[in-house]
Amino acid sequence: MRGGALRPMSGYIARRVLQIIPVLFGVTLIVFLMIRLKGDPVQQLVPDWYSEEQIQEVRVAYGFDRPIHVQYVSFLSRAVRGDFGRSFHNRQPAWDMIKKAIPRTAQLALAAFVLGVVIAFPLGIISALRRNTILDLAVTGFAVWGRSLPNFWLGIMLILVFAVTLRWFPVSGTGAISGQPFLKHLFLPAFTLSMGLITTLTRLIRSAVLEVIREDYVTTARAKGLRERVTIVRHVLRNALIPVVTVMGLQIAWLMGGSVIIEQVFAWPGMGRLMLQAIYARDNSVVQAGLLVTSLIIMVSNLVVDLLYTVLDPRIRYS
Amino acid sequence: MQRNKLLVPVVLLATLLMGFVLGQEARRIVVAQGEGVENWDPPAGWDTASEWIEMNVYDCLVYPDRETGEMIGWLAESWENLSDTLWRINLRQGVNFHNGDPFTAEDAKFSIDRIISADREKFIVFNQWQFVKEVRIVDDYTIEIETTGPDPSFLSELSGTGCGVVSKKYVEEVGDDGLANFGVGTGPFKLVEYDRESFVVLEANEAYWGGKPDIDELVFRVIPEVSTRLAELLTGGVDNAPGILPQDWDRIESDERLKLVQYLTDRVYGLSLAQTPPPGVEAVATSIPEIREAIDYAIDRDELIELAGGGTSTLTRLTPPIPCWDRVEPALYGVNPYNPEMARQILADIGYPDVAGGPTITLHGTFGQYIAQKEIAETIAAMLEEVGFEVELDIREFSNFRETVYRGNNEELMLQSLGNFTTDPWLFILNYDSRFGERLPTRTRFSNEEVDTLAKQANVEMDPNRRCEIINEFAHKVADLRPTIELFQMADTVAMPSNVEWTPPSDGMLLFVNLRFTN
Repeated sequence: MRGGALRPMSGYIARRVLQIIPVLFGVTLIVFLMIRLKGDPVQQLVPDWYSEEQIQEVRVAYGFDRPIHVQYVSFLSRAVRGDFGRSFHNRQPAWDMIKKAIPRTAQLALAAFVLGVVIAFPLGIISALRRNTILDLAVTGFAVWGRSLPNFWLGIMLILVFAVTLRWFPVSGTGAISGQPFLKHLFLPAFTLSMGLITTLTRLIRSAVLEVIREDYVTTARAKGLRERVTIVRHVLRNALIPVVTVMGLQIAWLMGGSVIIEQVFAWPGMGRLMLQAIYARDNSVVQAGLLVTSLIIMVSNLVVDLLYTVLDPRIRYS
Repeated sequence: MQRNKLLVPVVLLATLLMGFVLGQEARRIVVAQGEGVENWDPPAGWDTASEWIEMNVYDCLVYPDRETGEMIGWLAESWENLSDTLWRINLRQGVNFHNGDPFTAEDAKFSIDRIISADREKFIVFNQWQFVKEVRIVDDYTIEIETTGPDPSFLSELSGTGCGVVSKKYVEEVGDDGLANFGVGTGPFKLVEYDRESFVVLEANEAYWGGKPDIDELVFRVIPEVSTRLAELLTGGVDNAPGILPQDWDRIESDERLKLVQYLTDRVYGLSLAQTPPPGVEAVATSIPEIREAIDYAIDRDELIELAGGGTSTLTRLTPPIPCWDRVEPALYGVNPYNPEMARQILADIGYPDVAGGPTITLHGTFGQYIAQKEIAETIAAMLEEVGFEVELDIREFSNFRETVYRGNNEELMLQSLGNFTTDPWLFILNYDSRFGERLPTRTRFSNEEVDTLAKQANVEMDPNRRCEIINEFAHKVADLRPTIELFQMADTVAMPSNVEWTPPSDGMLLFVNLRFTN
């Protein structure tokens, strides 16, 4: 029975995976063109006193003198083999640098995601169940306030309060040489990053729960004498989850991308910081590889969210 | 019973000894930097952060004394100028690389040969080392270097980026990529481990030819954000951080574990004055000598120094430091020519704003590279307006500024910061020599026959005294013609633990071999 249900699903999954290929191809083209429109990377590489001829020699050595379509084809033919070229600055393979940075950003994003879910769910549910009370006002007020805080400001404030004044957490880094536990290093950046998710999810869960709680089947459940907790968890929450899961899926991409400023403030050596440095330095190989990987993560997370719908709501079937 | 009698004093002695040993904690200094090491191969990059850290691991043949600017021998024990184009260098004996390989003439030759025989794609410093024609081995500890022409800047150039001597045997074993990933030098500190994006751990080289450093473990941490670096200083996460901003001085000074040391850098804030218009522009007002003179009189340098935190910043009309510095007359150093009345009078005399290229004076600038950069540009614009100039301020993000304006597309004025890390005048001369200007899209587009002749003489004059006389004349000529108006030599402020003595070098190079603990 299950195998029969999966057969059309496997076709759907295969189609979605295949669709990723042309989208990725489009991303490579856009990324490639945008980076070249941004400026000449050679200008950032050479010292002040290099003459135009010397700059041109460097340009030729790096292949930037070739027509743009030739550069693109060369980039693409190497990229499909997993070769994104070397960083102009440290001559390391760009892919190696990305491979090293991804797990660090993933740790941060995952911790922020967990914190976001753990904090936002109770807040959203309580706020909905205690609608129009002071508690509800406080939670919605917090959600609006938290959403309006710039990440970098919040990060710096958290450092000042919890690291400099109270000394509960270390200021920055991952703990590789500080001797302090990794989780202590992780908390402040993860909490800062999770603030956006907390505020978004809290408001969304509140409105989703409020919508579902008025449904007839909830009234029926209550009339049947089910305990309130069972009614909320089994009937309200599960049905309220579909829009929440959609947003949670999209937030994964936001967490991966939103870590740029957080990583800078907390000296966290992940993808965000690597990309920021590469963009400033016009380190095209690293920027291209990083953007491609980020795009792939977003596409895969979207696919996973779509598939999760079928688990949450058995009525949804893809074919 | 007898055994028990002995046991007590033995245990006591052991406890005392253990306490003594444990009490001798490793002396560790953690330094905060904005960037990490990009590459451990000395000639492979230009980035300052890598060079700052690398120079604790590698030795060059010669290097400028960080306080006096005079060239001193590192792996070169002595040198002799055999002819205008030939130098003999006697190398230090009994020096080993960190992996145990002995240092010999083979390594010195190999380190230079691999740059000059490579290509631009491999070593970005390739062009800078083309002053070397050939390196010849005389014996195990003597080499001869033939230059491509008479080169009075030879020693300075020999200490330029990429000068770190590498082990021939090690590079042949591990290849260029291996060296890029793990540096092995003869310097005062050995590389232990590092993470490109977050830290570098070095330990003292016990057998260093210059004596074991006072620091046992030297750690560099990569912390890009200024406010985070400050927080780490205040919580003991780092001990040493350069570039402390004036608004943070009180907080550092209120912490008894820390102290601030201000020092004069080799960097000078100045204005470039375009003598000819850039492509697409008809005329620039700064082509008129009187306009340049009025700009010079309109700027109050003392106020700009205050803006940059005051302290040891010094008025100057030159780019220091150069070996001939003491020969340059005081008229070019320590003076503030500020005279707004004179500036107004000059403008009235020449009929400004009815002048070619007038009335608007464009002032280009950027921000984020040096202290109060944007504020200084804004204040200069206000000072110029105060004497009657009409100013258009053009502040751009650094990479945009560098690509669109910096390399010869500037209009009248551009705020810049020039340093002379070479401790030789060749870089100073290069800025005004129009023979280079033909190839180099300079900011000033300045050309003067007399200046060119002096530059030509200074670049080949091998007699140091005669060369200094030429450079002195050159400096005065340039100050009179005003292709640039230098403003002040910048100070920097570094935070460090109260229990250390350390003089930061003027070029900001973070060499820690001379750091001493006072307790």
